[in-house]
Amino acid sequence: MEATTRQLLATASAGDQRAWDALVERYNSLLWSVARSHRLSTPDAADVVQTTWLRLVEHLDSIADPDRLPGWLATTARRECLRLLRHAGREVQSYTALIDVPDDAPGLDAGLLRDERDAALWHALATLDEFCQQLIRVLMADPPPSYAEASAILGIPIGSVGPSRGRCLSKLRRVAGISGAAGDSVISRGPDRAADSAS
Amino acid sequence: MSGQQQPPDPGDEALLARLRRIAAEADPVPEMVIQAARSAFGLRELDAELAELVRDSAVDVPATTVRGAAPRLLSFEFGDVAVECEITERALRRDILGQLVGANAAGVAAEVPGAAAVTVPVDERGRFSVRDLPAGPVRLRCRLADGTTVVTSWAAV
Repeated sequence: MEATTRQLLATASAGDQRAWDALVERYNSLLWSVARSHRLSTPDAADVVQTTWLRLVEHLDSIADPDRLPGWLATTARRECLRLLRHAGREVQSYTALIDVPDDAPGLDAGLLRDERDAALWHALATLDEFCQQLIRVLMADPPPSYAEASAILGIPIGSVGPSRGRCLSKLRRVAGISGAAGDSVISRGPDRAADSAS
Repeated sequence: MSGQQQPPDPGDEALLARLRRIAAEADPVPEMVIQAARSAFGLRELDAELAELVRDSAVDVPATTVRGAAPRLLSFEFGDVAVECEITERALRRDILGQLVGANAAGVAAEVPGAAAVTVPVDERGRFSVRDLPAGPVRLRCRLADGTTVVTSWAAV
C-alpha cells in the first residue's frame, strides 16, 4: 500500500531518508513544473527546486497540516521564482508581453521533439497566458496532483480547477490547431485575457 | 458558471497525458536536480535554532526602485538575534557582508550544499565577511558566545 504524504512526512521527520526520497519522488516533478511555468532557465529552476526542498528540511517538524504539503511546497517555490524574476529586473507584471518575443525559454525546446505535432503542441503551450500555462503545467506534473492539491498550489477555489482546466486546454487546442476532441464544443470560449489577474 | 465539479473530460485527460509524455521527453527533471533534492535531507539541522528570513530586498522593496546596482539585503531573525546580510553579485560568485546583532558571536560559517563549510572571523561588533561563494542556496551558521548555535534559513543568492 502506498504511504500517504502524512505518513511520509512523519517517517522522514523521524530521520528516514527513504521516506524523504519518496516525498522527492512524489513532488519533484511538480516543483519543476512550477519553476518552468515561470519561464526560468535550467540553473535558476534548479536553484528554486533545491531551495524549496532545503526549506522543507528546515520545517519538517513544523508543517502544521501535512495534507497541505503540496500547496506549501508550491507556494515556497513560487515565492522563490518571483524573487528571482524580480531580482533579475524582469517585470513580472508584463509577463504576457514576453510571449510573442522569440525566446530561448529552456524547457520549451521543441527541437528535442521528434514528432512535429508534439513539437507544435509544446510550443503552443508556451504561448498561452500565464494563468493557463501555470495551471496546465501543474496538472501535467507526474504524478498529477489532485484537484484539492492543484487548488492549493494555484491559489484558486477547488470548484474552479475543473472549469479552468477545461477552458485552458480548450485554448491550447485552439492555438495548437487540434480539433475534434471530445468536450471542445461545449466549453465556453471566454476572452483570452480573462485570467491575467493571476499575478 | 456553476461551481459543481464535473467528471474529467476524457479528451482533456488524454491531452494532459500527451503533454506529460512530451514533457518527459522535452523537459525532464534533470538528474542533478533529483540528486540535490534527495541530499537536502542530509543537511537537516537538529541541534541549532533556526533564524527565519524576515526581509529580502529582492522581494520587499517596491518594484519601482532601480535594481541591479544596489546590493541585496537579507535579514534573518531568531528571537532577539538578527543576522543582517548584504549580498554583492559578481557574475556567478557572491560576497556576503554580514552582521550578527542581539548576541555575541563566537564564530560564523557559511554553508552551501555539497561543499565544506567556510568559517570566517567575526569582529567585536559581530561583523563578518564571506567572499566568493557560488551562486545558489547558502545558509550561515552562527555560534554564539553562550554556546547556542543559530542557523539562518536557506536563501538562494
